[in-house]
Amino acid sequence: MTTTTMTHDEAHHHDAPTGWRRWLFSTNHKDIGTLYLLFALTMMFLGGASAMLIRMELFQPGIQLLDPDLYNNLVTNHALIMIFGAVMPAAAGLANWMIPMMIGAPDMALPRLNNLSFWILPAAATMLLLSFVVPFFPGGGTQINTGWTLYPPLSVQVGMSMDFLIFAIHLLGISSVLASINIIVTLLNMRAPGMNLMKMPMFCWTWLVTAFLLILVVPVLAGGVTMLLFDRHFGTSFFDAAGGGDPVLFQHLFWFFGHPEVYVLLLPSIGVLSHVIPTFSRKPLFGYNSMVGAMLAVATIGMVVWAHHQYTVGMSLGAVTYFMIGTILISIPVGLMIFNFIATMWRGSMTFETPMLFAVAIVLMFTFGGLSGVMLAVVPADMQYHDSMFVVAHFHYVLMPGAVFGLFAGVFYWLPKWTGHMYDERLGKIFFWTNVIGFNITFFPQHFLGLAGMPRRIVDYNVMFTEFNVLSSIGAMIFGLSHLLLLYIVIKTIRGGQKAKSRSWEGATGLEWELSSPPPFHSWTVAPQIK
Amino acid sequence: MAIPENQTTELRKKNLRLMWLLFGFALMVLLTSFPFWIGMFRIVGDQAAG
Repeated sequence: MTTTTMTHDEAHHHDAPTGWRRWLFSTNHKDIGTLYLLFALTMMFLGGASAMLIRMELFQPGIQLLDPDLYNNLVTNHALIMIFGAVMPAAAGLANWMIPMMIGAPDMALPRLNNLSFWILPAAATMLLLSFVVPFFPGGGTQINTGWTLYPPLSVQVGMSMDFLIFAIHLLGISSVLASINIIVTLLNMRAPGMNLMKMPMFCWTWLVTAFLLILVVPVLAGGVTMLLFDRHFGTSFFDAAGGGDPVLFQHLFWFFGHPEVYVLLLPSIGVLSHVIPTFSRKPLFGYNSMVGAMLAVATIGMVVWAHHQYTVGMSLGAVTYFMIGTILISIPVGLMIFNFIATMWRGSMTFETPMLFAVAIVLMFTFGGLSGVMLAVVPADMQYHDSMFVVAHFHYVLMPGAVFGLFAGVFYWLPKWTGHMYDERLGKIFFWTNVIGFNITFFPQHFLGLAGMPRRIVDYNVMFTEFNVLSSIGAMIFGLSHLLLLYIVIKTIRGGQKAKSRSWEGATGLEWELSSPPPFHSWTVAPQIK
Repeated sequence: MAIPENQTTELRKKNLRLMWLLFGFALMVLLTSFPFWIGMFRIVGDQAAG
């Protein structure tokens, strides 16, 4: 690797700003990445608290703590906070921190836009939280009992809290699209000399595809909720059968966004695994080109199979057959990715530090979630499983390992680089085991509950479902509380610990490990030359 | 406000051009989503009915 000096802009500053201005006016990718991660961590605890309340209520049959509307409000709130507030910002945080360092750029291509994309988020989160609390005030209207899918006609009838939610979704969408534009421009225009697309680190590839997916689907959701807003307040009938509209149209609009959104959540974590597994197997990633191809195939097919979420609404036989075959086809490129991860580990000099433990857990548990996905893709079977706890178990097995554990792996993997300190490995492993065991106790029994006929999104249940629900709720408490340990580990690592080397992990490769730990304020003032 | 060091005037222009292109694309997806989806929905509905 040789280096080339970049031309300096006349207006640039060398010094890092201090105090609150450093964060509010920040255009530095690392500071903004940190803001994203802190925001995601905060939202994860809020979303986690609502999940624990849900499981406390379901500990026993009957109504204990929550009235049915509040229960459904919490279900809605939990999903929206976790998806839009926790997972997406956490992935954006990793992208902000790592992409410029990985491609040899000093910063993101559009730093002011970067600042704007982050600072829209707290405003959006405030609107989102207001949508939850507004019904508790006099004149606040009814609670949002629609679930995160916001299906009309119920969502047209809900009180003013739905308007807060619609505006929150608009703001979140704007933030996502702006961040995606920035990431695409950075990846296409700011790579170091000699780094062509097929030499780009896999994490960057996953984010390039994710960003394009977001630009393609988020505006459709924005369009859908805008139509909903018009139906609520301006006398239109897009989704009102009495006025010539149809509520099922909203379902198509929502899931055209909602299904690719699953890949938006998954792909950045697949990118993290593509670095963690080779590092701790001490081998290069198996099948780089096929990984890129598989990812493009997942994104393309994933865009055109949305209606498998709505088999039961009554589509034509041709339509459901198409959506079923398309959905099952996705398992091929996803299977290829899993195969590549296993092939990378095969005969590697593996060690099991915390990021690698999460990676191995992801390969096992995400595959399990994918298999129950194939079950749900089959139309006649889905007619039975639809809206049951089986679906809840399935998507948590896909999204927790596939997205969240991947983010945890990324945080543990890059924490030494960010902070300059090694985290406490013993605590990291304790966190991993409590987290993974708690997760499985929570969600594995829900497969059986669903298969036995327990519906989702209902506050009460038949006494025959009690045992598995008790188990699930105990697991949820272990799982939820284990995240306090994550918080402690992160704080402890920031405050001190063993000094991290530039290359914090023996087997790590890539430009980011050429920089000091923690990296300088401007990442690559002299661009590396890739050969 | 710090301006990244590798942002020569030429590169900055190139970045802004691509930004506006992508922004326009996102706007087009937003605006076409209304008629596109309503039309698509009618076609699927007619197929199911007939």
